Amino acid sequence: MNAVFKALADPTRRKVLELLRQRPMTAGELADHFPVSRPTMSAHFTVLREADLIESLKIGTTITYQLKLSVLEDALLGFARLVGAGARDSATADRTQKIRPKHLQKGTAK
Amino acid sequence: MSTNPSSRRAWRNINLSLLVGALQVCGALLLLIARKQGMIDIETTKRGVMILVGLGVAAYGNWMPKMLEGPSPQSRDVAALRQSINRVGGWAMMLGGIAFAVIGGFMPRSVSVVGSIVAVGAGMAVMVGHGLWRVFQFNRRSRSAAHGT
Repeated sequence: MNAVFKALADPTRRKVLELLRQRPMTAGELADHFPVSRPTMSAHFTVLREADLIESLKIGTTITYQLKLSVLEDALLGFARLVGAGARDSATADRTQKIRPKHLQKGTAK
Repeated sequence: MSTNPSSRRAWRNINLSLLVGALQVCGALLLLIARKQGMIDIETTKRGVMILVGLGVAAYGNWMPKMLEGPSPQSRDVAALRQSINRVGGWAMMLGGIAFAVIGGFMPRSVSVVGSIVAVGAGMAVMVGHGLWRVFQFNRRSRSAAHGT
């Protein structure tokens, strides 16, 4: 349950789940909605997958993500969206940098 | 146990369903023991069982969208269809189960029996109706796409 709260705490990940509510999407389609790098998005997907909130499907040659929320997690997402509705996109971009995998952070560290 | 993800998922779903069933049976047995000991009356026992059944349906509905039974979908449209049916079905069954528990457990006897059945029936009707509607729409779109090409 801790992993679920951790995953839902971030506005970018909440937005990813909101987008996946409409229909399953590829990583590229999802990444197009955010002003962050692909590796950062990939790290977000990893967090969501580890929390068992999304599932990756191999359809043809592409990896497609689809929602895997229980009803309570779905309700929790709606509640988190209500509470975090005021969060600014710029703050999202700053925070997402912190969740990048260690090997990527090392490469970009100054 | 198999290492095939679909097989593992099926085993997990079976285990979860067995757990929900076992909890319901254990709860009903506890109520029966309490009744035999004279701690609760027959009416409370019946209502307790109604609450257990309702919560069992709600628990199953809660997990329904996560179960993702069957083989991986072959197209994104099929994945979207499955996701939509599972989501609406899950919500309908969970709300139906909670309504069953509340109506069966706390409403006056004249209302509780019929009301609780109507609540779960409505949940099932929404689930099946939505599923059929989505499948019908999907088939119609597929046919018109095939005729267009």
